[in-house]
Amino acid sequence: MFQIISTMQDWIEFIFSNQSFENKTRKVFEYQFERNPVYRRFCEAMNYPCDPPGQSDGLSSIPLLPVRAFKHANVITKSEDYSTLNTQNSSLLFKSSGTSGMVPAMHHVADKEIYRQSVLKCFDHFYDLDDAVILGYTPGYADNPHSSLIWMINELIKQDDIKKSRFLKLNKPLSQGEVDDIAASGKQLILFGAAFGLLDLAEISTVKLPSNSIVIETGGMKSHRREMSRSEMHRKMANAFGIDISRVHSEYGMCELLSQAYATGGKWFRSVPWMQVSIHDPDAPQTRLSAHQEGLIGVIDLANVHSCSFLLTGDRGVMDQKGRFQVLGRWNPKDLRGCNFLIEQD
Amino acid sequence: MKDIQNRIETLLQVIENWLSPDNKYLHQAIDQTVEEGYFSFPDVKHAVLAFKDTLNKTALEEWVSRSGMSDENNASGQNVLCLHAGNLPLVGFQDALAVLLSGARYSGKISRKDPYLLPTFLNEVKKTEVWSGVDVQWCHRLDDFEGMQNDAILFAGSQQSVPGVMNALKKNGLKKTDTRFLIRTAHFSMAYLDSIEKKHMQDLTEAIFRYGGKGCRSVAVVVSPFSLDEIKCEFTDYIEAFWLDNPQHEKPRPKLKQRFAYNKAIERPQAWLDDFLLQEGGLELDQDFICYWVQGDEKTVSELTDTLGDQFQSIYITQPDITIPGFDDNIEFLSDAQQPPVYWKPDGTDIIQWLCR
Repeated sequence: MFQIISTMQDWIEFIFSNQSFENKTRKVFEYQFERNPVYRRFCEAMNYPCDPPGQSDGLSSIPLLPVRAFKHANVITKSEDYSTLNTQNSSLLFKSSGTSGMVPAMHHVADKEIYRQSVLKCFDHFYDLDDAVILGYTPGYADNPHSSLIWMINELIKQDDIKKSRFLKLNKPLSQGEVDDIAASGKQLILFGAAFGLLDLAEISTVKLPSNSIVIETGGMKSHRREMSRSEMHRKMANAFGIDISRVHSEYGMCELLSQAYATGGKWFRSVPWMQVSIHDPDAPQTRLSAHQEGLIGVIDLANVHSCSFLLTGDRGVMDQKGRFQVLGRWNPKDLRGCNFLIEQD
Repeated sequence: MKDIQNRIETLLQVIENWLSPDNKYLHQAIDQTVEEGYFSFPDVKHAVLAFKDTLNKTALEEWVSRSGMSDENNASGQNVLCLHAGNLPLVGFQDALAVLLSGARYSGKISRKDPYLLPTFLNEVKKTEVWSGVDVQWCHRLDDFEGMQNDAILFAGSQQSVPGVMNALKKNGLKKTDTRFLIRTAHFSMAYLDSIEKKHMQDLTEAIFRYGGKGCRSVAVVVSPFSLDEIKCEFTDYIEAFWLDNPQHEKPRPKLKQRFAYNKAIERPQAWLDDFLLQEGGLELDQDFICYWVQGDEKTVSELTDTLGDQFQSIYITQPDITIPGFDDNIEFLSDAQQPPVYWKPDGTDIIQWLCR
């Protein structure tokens, strides 16, 4: 289908349309190859495409830019109306959190509307936002304007027509009265926050949540606390909040991605129709691995249309045959030079 | 010093026999090593010639003297196990020699990545009257030593690999409650290049590219007042000349090409050499076949050592009047990077001194 896409509004409609993922991906690739100098240089150095852009073979051969590029370069795809919109307060700047001294990733989101729609559509894909009260347990948005997670939770909170959704105060236990009030409203309580923060909240709260509540953790297990497995963490949260472990869910997102994946009970994440996850050989990142082989998580996120949609993360993961994936932590490079590998496998 | 002198004299004779052009066992081992693709012939030849040049009476006596070993203070009676690495030809030789010089009994697990070369030396040792078959033992599988408890164990490993090695040692009953461990963690070296004279450029080339850059003495970080862009054309000529005589044996995986593309994307200065990459900055040190170039001075070297911690092995300089702040005496010459004196100290530890402690 021939379609002229010139404005950011056109892109929003296109990305979330019912067209095939492959068609949309080819279009986004052509757009980013043409208008994103960082990604274009990367593709050209990878000798891609050999033929006219995106026409030679399947989507799997499209190069994935290492996500750390957001730390080292300005990863922007400029649409025709980029300059106009950029001066109209319609853009956002997200920065990654990290330990001091680390260079943060910076994601210039040229059109905040696309992120807003992606957040809401992702959430609605897995949950019923109209029927939910969101309690966010993170620092407030005003204090962290560059956090994509907090911006996301803030957007979810803003959708609540009965105005019971809010950011909880940090280091304050959950109030039984508030929880009862939400239960009485007939809406589902969804407690959303970074993993370590929710564990802190679990420790200081004695309140049991209604049994249909959902706790969504967004990772970050290493911060502030000893490292623990995701299942151990979920067990602790379920016990503390008095809910079934199947109601402790996980969200996979990062400031470099405008779409999210969710694990709605268990270890397996699912993504949304405009996002595709794949697993790649760390030694040959262009090679996709088959189901149940561990490798680096690659993502095609079409909501990143104005930055870069084709990204290779630094996360270790595995997929199953249904296309679901697990996040197994950060990839630890094993091939450090030197005499490090004494005990070979006999 | 009678016993020590006896060990020195005997080992010198062993080394002479071992490195003799008539030693058909060493020849066979070299042929087999090359034919089976473990290392290239130029790299094996380099390793053997380096020993020929550096192993002599003066050097061994110097090592003993530096270590403070005496007939009263040595490692006689100890059982010492060496888990030898195999990333370079004969990389375990220094450890084996140190154990023998110290008077301890030597057990060595030979790396399956370098299976033939070191045993030819050890077999020569066993022919002497000083060391019997019980005093010198080696194998290729750790479980062949099962139940042989050791007083000291030497190995190299990354932080991540140490628990696995410890488990294997425990499982095979190779350690006691009071076994001492010498664990090396350094995996690359750093050079300060203040001059682009021909000799220094050739030395740097050898220091980076010998063994495909895989040794812990290999230079993976160069600090220089010159930027990479300034000297890369000239440097490439030296590299090509080196590779003409010493073709790189091991080829990099496709992720190196991806790094090159990434550097292009973010406009990081680099020199793509097909099988190797030189890049300015971005010290991630997460894969082989990359040398990082940092524009700076002696102070920069000093600052980098703080950042890189126990990962780096040695600092090399081109001439004696260069001083690196904070490193008064433990710096080495660039020309010695791939041909160190026998008494060089891996991870800053004199092995003989450690064994005799």
